[in-house]
Amino acid sequence: MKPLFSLRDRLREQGMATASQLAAAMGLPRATIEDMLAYWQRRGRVELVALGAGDGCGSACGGGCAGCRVPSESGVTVYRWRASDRAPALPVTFHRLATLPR
Amino acid sequence: MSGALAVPARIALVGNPNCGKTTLFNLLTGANQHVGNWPGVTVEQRRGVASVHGVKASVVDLPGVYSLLGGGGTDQAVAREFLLDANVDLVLNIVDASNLERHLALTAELLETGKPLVLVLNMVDEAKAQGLEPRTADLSAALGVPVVPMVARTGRGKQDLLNALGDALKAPPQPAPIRYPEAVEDALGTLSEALGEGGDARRRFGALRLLDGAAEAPSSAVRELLGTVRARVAAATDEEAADLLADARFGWAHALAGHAMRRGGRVGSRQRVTDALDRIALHDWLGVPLFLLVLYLVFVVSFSGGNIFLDFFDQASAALLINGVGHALYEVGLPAWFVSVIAGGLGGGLNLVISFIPPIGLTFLFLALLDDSGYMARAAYAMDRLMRRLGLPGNALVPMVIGFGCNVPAIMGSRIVEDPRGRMLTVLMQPFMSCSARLTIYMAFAVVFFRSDGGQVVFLLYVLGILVALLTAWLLGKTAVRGEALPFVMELPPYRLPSVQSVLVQSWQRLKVFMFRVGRVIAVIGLVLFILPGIGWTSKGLQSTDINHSLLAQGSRALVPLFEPMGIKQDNWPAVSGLIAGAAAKEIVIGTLNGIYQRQNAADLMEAYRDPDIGAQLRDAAKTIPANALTFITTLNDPLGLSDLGSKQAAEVASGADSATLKAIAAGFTPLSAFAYLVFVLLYVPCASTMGALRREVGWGWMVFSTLYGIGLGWGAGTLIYQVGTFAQHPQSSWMWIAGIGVAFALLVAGLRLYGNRQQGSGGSLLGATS
Repeated sequence: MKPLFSLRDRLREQGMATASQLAAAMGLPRATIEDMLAYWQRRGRVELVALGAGDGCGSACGGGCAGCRVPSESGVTVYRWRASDRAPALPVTFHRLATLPR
Repeated sequence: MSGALAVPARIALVGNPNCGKTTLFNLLTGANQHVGNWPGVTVEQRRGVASVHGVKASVVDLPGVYSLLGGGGTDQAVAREFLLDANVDLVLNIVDASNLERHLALTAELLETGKPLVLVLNMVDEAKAQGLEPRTADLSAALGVPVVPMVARTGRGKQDLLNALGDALKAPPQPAPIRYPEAVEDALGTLSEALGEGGDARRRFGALRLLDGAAEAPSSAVRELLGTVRARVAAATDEEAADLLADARFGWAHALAGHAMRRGGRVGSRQRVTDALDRIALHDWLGVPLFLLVLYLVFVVSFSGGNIFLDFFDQASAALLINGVGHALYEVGLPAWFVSVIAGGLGGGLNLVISFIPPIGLTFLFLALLDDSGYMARAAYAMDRLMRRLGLPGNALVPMVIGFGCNVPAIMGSRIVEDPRGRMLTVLMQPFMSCSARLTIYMAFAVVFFRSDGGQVVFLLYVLGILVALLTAWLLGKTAVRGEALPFVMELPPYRLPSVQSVLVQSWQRLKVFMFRVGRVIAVIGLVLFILPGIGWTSKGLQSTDINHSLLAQGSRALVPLFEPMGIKQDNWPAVSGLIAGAAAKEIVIGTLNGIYQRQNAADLMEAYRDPDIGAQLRDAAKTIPANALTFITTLNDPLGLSDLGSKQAAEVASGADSATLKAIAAGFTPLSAFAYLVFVLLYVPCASTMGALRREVGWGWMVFSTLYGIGLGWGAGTLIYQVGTFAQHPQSSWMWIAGIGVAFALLVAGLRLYGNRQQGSGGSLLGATS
C-alpha cells in the first residue's frame, strides 16, 4: 500500500474533498489522513479552504429547515489539490442532510 | 552534558508532545531531577537519575517533537543532536497507544539513528476504551525491540518497564530501520558516502535529511550530487525522493499499527462495521448499484407494505367522509348541490389524500431511516464519484441530499456554487428530481395500474428522473455551457443506529406536509372544480351545462390531440386538464382529476348518500387488512415482484381501491398510457414555485428554456414509450413519431451547440447571457 500517493491521486482526481470523505473512501483513520494532508500542504501541493458553517446550510434549506444541522462551530474544512488550477473557489457543500420538503 | 552525572548508562526519553513523556520521566526519576537549559539555547532540559535493578542510569527528557528530520525549530535540533550523539546508550520511545499510527512516524525516524530502543506503549487504558487491544508481542517482534504496555499516569507497568530497561542495557536490542524503495536506498547510500563525517547512523541520517529537503547541503559538491541522485530517483520511480520517503513511513506506520492493535469489544466492532460498510457503500463501482438497490427496496417495501392498509384507509375514509358526511347533510335536508360539493368535492379530495398515507408514510419513514443512519450522505458521495469518473457532473446529488423533498430548496442550494457554469447546471438539473408532490401522482397511478409491482414503477420513475437530470447537465455541459465539472464535498457523518425519535419526527414532519399542505391543495381544487358552475359554449352561446360540456372540457378536448401520441384518448380530457392545472403545482394534477371525476359521478354519489350502510362499509374496509396482509405474506418469497415484471397485461387493470377517482383513472388509461402519462408528469414543469426559483437563480432566458425543454422532453419521452409499446398495432405511424422525436432531439443538440459556440466566440459571460 502506498497511502500517501493513493491519497494524492484521489484528491487530485476529485479536486477537493473533506478529511472525512477521504478517510471513509480510503479506509484509513482520520488522524492519519490529516497527517498526510499536512505533509502535502507542507510540500505546497494542497491548500485548505475553510467554508463558513452558515453558507450551505442556510441556502440549502431556504432558511427554515429543521433537518439541517451543523456539526461544528467552525464549519467544514475542505482540502484542495493545488495543481488543479481550474478548480472553482467554492465547491458544492452540504454539512448535513436537509430533508424537509417545501 | 550527560557526563555531569558520572553514571554508566544514559537513557533518552523521546516522544510526541502530549504522549505522557514527562509523566513517565517523573515516574522513573522521582525526586532525583535537575531542571536547566540545553547549552546555548533556551529550551528546558530535564535530567534525572533512575534506578534500574539497583544500577543507576541517567535519564534525559528530550523536548517533545513530531519529527527529527526538519521543520521543528530549536526543540527538534536539540533532540536530534542529542540522539545522534554517541553517548546515548538507550532510547526510550513513548507512544500513545490510542493513536499509535500517528506516533509511530517518529519511531520510524528513531530507528534510523541506529540506537538501541525500548518502546513504551502508553495510555493502553484509553486505547482499550476505544476498542483497541494491543498485541505487544507482535509489535515487539515486528520492530525487533522490547515493547512495554503502560499507563504512566497511574504507574501501571512500571516494573515491566524497569525489567525491560535492565535487559536492554545488558544486551542492547538492535532494531531494523525501514527499508525504502530500492532507488531511494541507493540514493541514501550514495549521499551517505559523500557526507564523510560521523558514524554510519549519523551519515545516513544526514543523507535522509538532505533527500527529504529538510537540510541544506554542506558543500557545492554534495549539492550537485543531491541533484543527481534526486533526478535518478525521479527517473526510476516517477516520484520525488522526499515523497517516497514520507510515503514509506506512512505505509510502514499504518501496516504496523494495524498489526499491533486489534479491534475488539463494542467500540472496536463498531469501527470494523463502519469500515466494512464504507468499503461497499463507497466502492468505486459497487457504491452506486448498492444505492439503487437500496432505493429499489425502499419503494418496493413501502408500496407492498402500504398496500396492506391502503384499502382500509381508502374505504374507511370514503365511508366516513363521503358517504357519512353526505348522508348526514342529506338527512339535515340541505340542497343536493350543497351535499355534492361538501361530500363529493371536499370529502372526495380528503379521501384521496388519506388513501395514500400508508405507502407515502412508509416511504418517508425509510428515507428518514437512510438519512439518520448516515447512509444517504455516502450514497451521494458514491454517486458523485462515479458520475465524475464517467465524465458526468455529480451535482444532481444536491436534491438527493435534500431528501427527495422539494425542487425549490434544491435550486436555492445551488447558490453556494460560486462559478456561474456549475451553478447553472446544478439549477437546470433540479426540476427532474422526483419531489414529494409527484410521489402522490405516482402512488395514485401505481395503485390503479400496477398494484402488484407499483414499487418498481415508482423506483423506475425516480431513477429516470436522476438519469434525465444527468443527461441534461451532460448535454448542456458539452454544448451550451461548456467548462469543467465541480467537486462535491461534505462532511460524512459517522454511521449510527438511527434514533427512533429522530426518524419518527423527521418522517412525521414530511407526512404532515403531505397531508396538510398537499391535502389542502387537493381538497380545495376539488371544491373549486365542483363549485364552478359548468358553463359551456353551446349553439345558443354561453350556457350553463354539465361538466362534460363545460368550457373546461371543451378547452381540454381541444388540446387532447397534442397528447394523443402518448396514449390519451379524446374522452379522457380530464387528464389534460390535470396537466394544465398541474403546471402550477404537481399535487394539483391529482386534485383536478379528483374534482372532475367526482363531479362526473355526482349523480351516482347522490344515490349513495341517501341510504348508506356505513357500518357495513367500515367492516368491509377492516376486512381488507387481513386479506391484503395475506397477499403480502404469500408474495414474500418474491418481495421484488420479479415474476410479475414484463408480464403486465392490459387486462390486469384491477384496482382494489374504491375511490371514484381511482376508478375513473382506471377507465381512462391503459397501463402503458398511464406510464407514459407519469413520465410526462415527471419531466414537464415541476411547479410555479420551482420555475420562480429558477428564474431568480439563472434568469428569464434559462427559465423559459427549462420550461420548454421539460415539456418537450416529457412529451417526447411519453410519446416514445407509448409508441414503442403499441408499435405492433400501427408500425408505420409509430416509426414516424419515433423518427420525428429523434430529429427534434438532434435539432435541439445542434441548436445548443450553436449557442455554445457563439457564447465562446463572443466571450460572453454566462450570467450576462442569462440576466
